[in-house]
Amino acid sequence: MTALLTIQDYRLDIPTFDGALKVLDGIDLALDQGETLGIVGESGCGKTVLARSILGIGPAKGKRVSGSMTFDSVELDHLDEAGWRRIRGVKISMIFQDPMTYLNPLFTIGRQLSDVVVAHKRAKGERLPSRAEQRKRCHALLDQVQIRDFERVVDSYPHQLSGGMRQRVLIAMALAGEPQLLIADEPTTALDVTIQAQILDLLRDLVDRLGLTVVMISHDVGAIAAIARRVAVMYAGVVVEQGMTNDILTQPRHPYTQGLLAALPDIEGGHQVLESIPGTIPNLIHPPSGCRFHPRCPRATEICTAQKPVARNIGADHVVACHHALD
Amino acid sequence: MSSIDMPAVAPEIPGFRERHASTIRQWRLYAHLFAGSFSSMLGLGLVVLFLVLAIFGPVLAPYPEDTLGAVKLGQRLLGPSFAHPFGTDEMGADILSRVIVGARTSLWIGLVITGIGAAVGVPLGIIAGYKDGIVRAVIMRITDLFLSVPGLALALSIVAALGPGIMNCVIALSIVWWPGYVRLVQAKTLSVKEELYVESARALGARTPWILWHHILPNCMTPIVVKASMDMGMAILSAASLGFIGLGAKPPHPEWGAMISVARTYMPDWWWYSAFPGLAIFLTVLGFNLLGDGLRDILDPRSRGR
Amino acid sequence: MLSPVTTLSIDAARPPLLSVTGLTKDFSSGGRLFRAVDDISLQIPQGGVLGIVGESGSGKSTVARLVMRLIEPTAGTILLDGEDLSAKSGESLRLIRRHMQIVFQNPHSALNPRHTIHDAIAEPFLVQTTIRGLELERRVEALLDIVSLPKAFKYRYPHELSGGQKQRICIARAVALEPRLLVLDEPTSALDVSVQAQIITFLQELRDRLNLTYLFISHNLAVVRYLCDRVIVMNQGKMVEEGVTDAIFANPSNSYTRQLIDSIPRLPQRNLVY
Repeated sequence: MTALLTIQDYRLDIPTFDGALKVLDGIDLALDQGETLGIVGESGCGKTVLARSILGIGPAKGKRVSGSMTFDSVELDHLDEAGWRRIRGVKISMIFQDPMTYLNPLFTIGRQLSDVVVAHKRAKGERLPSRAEQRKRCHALLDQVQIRDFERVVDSYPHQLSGGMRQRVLIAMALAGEPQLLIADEPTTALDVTIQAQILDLLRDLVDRLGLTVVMISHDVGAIAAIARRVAVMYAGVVVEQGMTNDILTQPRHPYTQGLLAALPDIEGGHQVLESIPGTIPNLIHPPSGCRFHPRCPRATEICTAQKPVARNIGADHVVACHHALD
Repeated sequence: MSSIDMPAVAPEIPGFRERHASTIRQWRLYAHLFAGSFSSMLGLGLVVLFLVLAIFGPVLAPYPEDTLGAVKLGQRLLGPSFAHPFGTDEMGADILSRVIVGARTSLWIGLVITGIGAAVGVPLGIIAGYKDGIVRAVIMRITDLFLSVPGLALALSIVAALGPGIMNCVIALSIVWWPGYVRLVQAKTLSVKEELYVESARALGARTPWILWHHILPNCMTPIVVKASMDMGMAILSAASLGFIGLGAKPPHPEWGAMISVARTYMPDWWWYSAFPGLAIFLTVLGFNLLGDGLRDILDPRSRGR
Repeated sequence: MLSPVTTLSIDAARPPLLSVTGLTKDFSSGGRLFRAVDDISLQIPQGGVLGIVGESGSGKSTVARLVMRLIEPTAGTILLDGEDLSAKSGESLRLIRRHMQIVFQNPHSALNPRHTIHDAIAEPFLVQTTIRGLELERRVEALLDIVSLPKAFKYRYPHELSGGQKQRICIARAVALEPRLLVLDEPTSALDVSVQAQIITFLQELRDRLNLTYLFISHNLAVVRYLCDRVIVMNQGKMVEEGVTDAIFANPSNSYTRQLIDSIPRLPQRNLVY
């Protein structure tokens, strides 16, 4: 079976005044239909650039150096604007961190949602729905994201809704085109914990009910663990470890993943010693030689400075890019 | 007892380059961004040309005596030629020489008007933005009062009251110029004072003058510099307008507006007489505007850290 | 070597370092009064760490600003080491500010972009003391050392630093005058987890080293549990629960507190032997 989304050896540079930022350095990812993949990493690791590149909305000046992205047998790198229009929102949708900035403050929710519904019909070349049909479709979409007081919400303006409601509306819009893939970029980061829990529940429910394929990007390991069956850990533009979420969280093999997990304070308490990863994230204009993590790595040896580690499968679907993964 | 350990050795002071590496890099970045824009460079070029003419004018002018009112009736109203590239006027004076020397008049008019406008407007704007209540109300209402009358009309009536002349013209324009700065700086101050670093300085116990001088003013400088650059052009244009209607510089003083004023009676047959001073005004104002635009682009905080 | 700070011993007869009673703040928006903080009382003993947790709109950051006297309380008293802050204004308030300092949530906007790091760290001395010249240079370098940053950072501008580094600079500014109370308003919320861990362990060390007392405001319950002795839970301006941290987390008596704790996504237990 071929994967729904395949990313192979993808490298992306962003030219700047001081030189090119090597933001993505050989990304290899594959995603099957119906799978949920979490991409976790700290700011500047390239997770958002990667996610946006899948939709062709990556950094404006970004230059693909090598590699390819294939979605549903379509080479994404060679698409023109017309080609993208057949993909964006229709086959791949995206939801974002701050729902307020993605809703137009001047129009009601109902109006904006109907616009999306009509646009998708138009893109698919189908008959445009009547007002009544639009309203019915909006109702169904909002129902899908568990908005029960439909009448109030459709006639509201974005500022009249809470952050959680706005994120639900945005998810409804993303689902309007019945996409095969949903990319969620930090969907819960801007929300309070209780609302965050509700949105995570909703996303999990959508995955179960609609069989949605999801790529979720977050810096929050907890949020990723709540949604994603598989997880990829990124550091400085490299996927350092990927595999089943449960395996990665219980038996991390890459020193970065281990450091990241040890740095998380535990809500269950216990007299845990909070460990931090020494140093700071590297400058991506002159990234460290060999393994990009080696200057901060407790297990680094000579080979780490000299050679970039190749991602190796060290168990059932557990891939690690580290020279010392099995030490 | 708590104490912050102090090193026994005196701090070493590294060399100039190391100390100012950040600043040097920032200026290199500014230069790089600026040089990448054709219109900014054109503006800079025009302004530099104007400054060179203003500073070295009397040396560069081919017939310096013509700028002082020499009368050479034998060569009245000659068209552009090799000897007189811009032609001559009704007194036989070389127009090129008068245009070159006129640059200095325009420069000091622009500098004085913009300088007084900023010197009065910026402090008032900062105070009006930072303080609320009666202080802001008084400053802003007076400003509104000035802004509600068209600037040039107000300047006209002031000059009419003081009597024509270049000095009175500068005084009048300075009086109408400052309110623009109050508005600009007040709006900017209102946003800067909400910044966390201002609150942080207050939490440290900084006094208001300290906060205004060290935090508010430096962060208001970008729009001030941009406006001042554009205002140089506008002030020169306004002074030329007053000169044109006979309220500014008086002939034979080589001032561009006054030259055009005389020249308009010689239109269109002796077109060069008004065309070249007009071109000088046009290019100068254009230059300052393009420069201001270019500065706005590079000083925009979004271009920082790139 | 810095100005003498009265030695504080743990003494039962001594009042707590910070004692707040009946703190209330009304904001008016569009003619309507909105009570952001409603009758909050709290005490922190010398050397203690009190956490305030709550979601956005709970009023927890307003409490921080009220305690710092950055905004005027509508009602209530604030006692810092027995001195009534709420009665102070003008110069006497300005002078007492050196004993209490605040670190804000967002280090990216808490530093003036036009000032070098040197200017930022020197500012507390310039506004509160007469220390100048070589002595000032020494102090700035000592503070950079305390927050584990290289001395060469003096000449940099904030935009050249990472978020964690900027937050260290903010902490250096805040502790420069050796305050007794440090209010930490979500100091790690804008930072990555590995940086958060650095800052939190650093704050712990710093508390022991400089004999500080913390008021720690956060929405991150795990961090509060890790760092605080006691905790206050706030919801819509009101205090809903208060007590010893471990007790509250283990057995919350208030339904809102329970909901808050249950909302945190749990991770599968780590295999600690890698």
